[in-house]
Amino acid sequence: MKKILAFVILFGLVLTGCSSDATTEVTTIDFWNPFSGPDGQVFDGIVQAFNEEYEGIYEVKTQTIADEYYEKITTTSQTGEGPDASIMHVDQVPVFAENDMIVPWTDEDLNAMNISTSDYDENIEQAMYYNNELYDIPFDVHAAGWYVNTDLIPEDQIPTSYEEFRELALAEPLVEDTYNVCMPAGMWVAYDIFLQNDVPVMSEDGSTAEFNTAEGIKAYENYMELVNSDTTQTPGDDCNQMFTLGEVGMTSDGPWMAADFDTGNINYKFIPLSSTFGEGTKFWASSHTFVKYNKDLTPEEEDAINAFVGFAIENSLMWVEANQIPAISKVKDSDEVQNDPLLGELAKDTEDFTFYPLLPTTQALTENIGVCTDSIFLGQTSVEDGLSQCSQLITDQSAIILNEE
Amino acid sequence: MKKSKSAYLFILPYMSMFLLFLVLPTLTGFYLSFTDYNGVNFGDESWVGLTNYINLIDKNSFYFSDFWKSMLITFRFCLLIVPACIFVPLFFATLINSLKRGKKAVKAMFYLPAILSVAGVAAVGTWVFDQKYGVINYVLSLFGHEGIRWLSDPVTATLSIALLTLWWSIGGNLIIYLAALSGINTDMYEAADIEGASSATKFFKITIPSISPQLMFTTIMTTIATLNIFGQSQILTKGGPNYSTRTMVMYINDTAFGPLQAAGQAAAMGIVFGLIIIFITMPHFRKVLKEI
Repeated sequence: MKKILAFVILFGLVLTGCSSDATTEVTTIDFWNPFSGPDGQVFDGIVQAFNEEYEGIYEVKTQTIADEYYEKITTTSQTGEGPDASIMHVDQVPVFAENDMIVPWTDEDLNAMNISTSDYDENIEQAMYYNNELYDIPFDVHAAGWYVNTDLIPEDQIPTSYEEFRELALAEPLVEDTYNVCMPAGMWVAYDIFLQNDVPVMSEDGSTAEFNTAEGIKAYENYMELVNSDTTQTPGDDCNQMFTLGEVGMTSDGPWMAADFDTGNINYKFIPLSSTFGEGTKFWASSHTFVKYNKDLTPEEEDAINAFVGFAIENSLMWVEANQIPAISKVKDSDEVQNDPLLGELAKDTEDFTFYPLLPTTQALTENIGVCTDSIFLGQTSVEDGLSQCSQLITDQSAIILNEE
Repeated sequence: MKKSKSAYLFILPYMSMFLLFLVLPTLTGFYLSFTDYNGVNFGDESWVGLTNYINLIDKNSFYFSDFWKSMLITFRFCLLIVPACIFVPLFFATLINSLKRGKKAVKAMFYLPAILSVAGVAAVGTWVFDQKYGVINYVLSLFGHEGIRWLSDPVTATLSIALLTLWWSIGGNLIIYLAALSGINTDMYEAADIEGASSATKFFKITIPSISPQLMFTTIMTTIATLNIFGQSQILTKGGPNYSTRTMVMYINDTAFGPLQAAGQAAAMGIVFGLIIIFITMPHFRKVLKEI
């Protein structure tokens, strides 16, 4: 009996050792993404479609990381266990490029994907390069905009200029017991205030924060005049919650919030953030991009990555389902995207999309500008003191980062 | 008792994990604290001697102000949370211990939050402290109060995190106190009753001294846990508003993995902070071990 049992176990082990992976020629790549919300399901659909089309040739094994995405990539990459390629926010590219964790895409890669950098709008194309090397290929572009409750703000009252926006924000509520505008705060708001008032944010070499000037202070004071007005909400109130409940006419966030707002049965439209905080039309944007890691990849794995990226970009119309605007012009400018009920207005205005400058010190800016300007927004510090402290913090951090290189 | 070599085999798995996941990282961290390691390219770091430690006491250093500010914030949390996490569970343990029926159910109810992950706890916190529809502001609205913007003000944000931590931690200490209370010899209470002692006298003269080792132990463990507070701040307030709830562990994390990528500096902060924790808790630990 014991001998029979031993034989069965041994036979099972032998069968296990003869797994099919050892004999098939499917090339597998590990691909990570941060899409932990409903957009994750859409992205999984794209991956599945690729795997079906390339069945028996390539397989993409995708992993969605919800928390500490970049920390986990950094940690696992040191042991060679990290992804072969991944989605990366464009403002993270400098950090990973400086540390040689990602490698530039080559012309051969682009040819294999059937794309060219000229397939993108100029402002998007510029964001593909860091230190004159092509490190990232944009999958989508996204920006915050204004959600407008069309039941509270009639079409002819929706502001189309800076003056009209200020007028609406300072006016008595169009509907009783509501606010016309819920004044936003945070990282992109601070950036937009400076952009739309032609206030430089960082020096070209990334060593110095440059927004603490008379113009920068004036721009912020103009913004705070609206924040502190009795006609807008109290700073600290949850604007998105109030919008969902029909208590404010306008709130600012990205298209990814649409699913949450839909739960409130609000009739709304989504418009660009142009000319809100100043006369300028530019506003903050970011991009989910494809990057490739510094690993010893086989030629087959390189081909698999190129095939997947090319496929995803070619089929990026699917990504609209996740409320994201495909970055490549031929898809972005298509009727389906330009006339999309949610994204259409924003998609028509992508020439005003302005990414954070890609510098070694970008992170010092992005990690701090929202947090430290929030203290101004919440009335905990004056505009002058707040911008002074904020710019000093960013400059000091930049000095350390640049000294370490 | 006969000594057996096989005993070593039994403790080998634990010792291996202990060496691999505690001793080795600690020694590595100690080494890295003397380098300019950036958290990415291990092996490329350079020796910088005591620079990272000097940065923590040099007023002109970039790290000085934020390091000690985070230390202050962390100790502030300690002062709020530790006494609450001792006296509140003790109070409830005393009450529960006197119950005739339903003890188990009440115990389970108090212990339930302890099994939640910190993410779950923070999710509860965002609901409880929500400015418009949070439970606390709803209760306040019944008294005509317009509600508090809990997470937008440094004082109330700190209080929110402290309350959330208390709710999360109450169960663990409560179980320990209940076990301790059940072990007290009831003869002492009977004697005290005969002598005409009041409830307060019995509590302070019999109960407290009888469970003093457990009180000391829970005080030390709660202090250590509070000094290491991270998840609640990270998820609920992200260290805000304006870094007012950025605890030491958060600051170390930000220094290592944030824009500065100063993992070597962060390692030095971790070593210094660890020594401070040992300095605070070791004398009390010795006392507890003596009494046991």
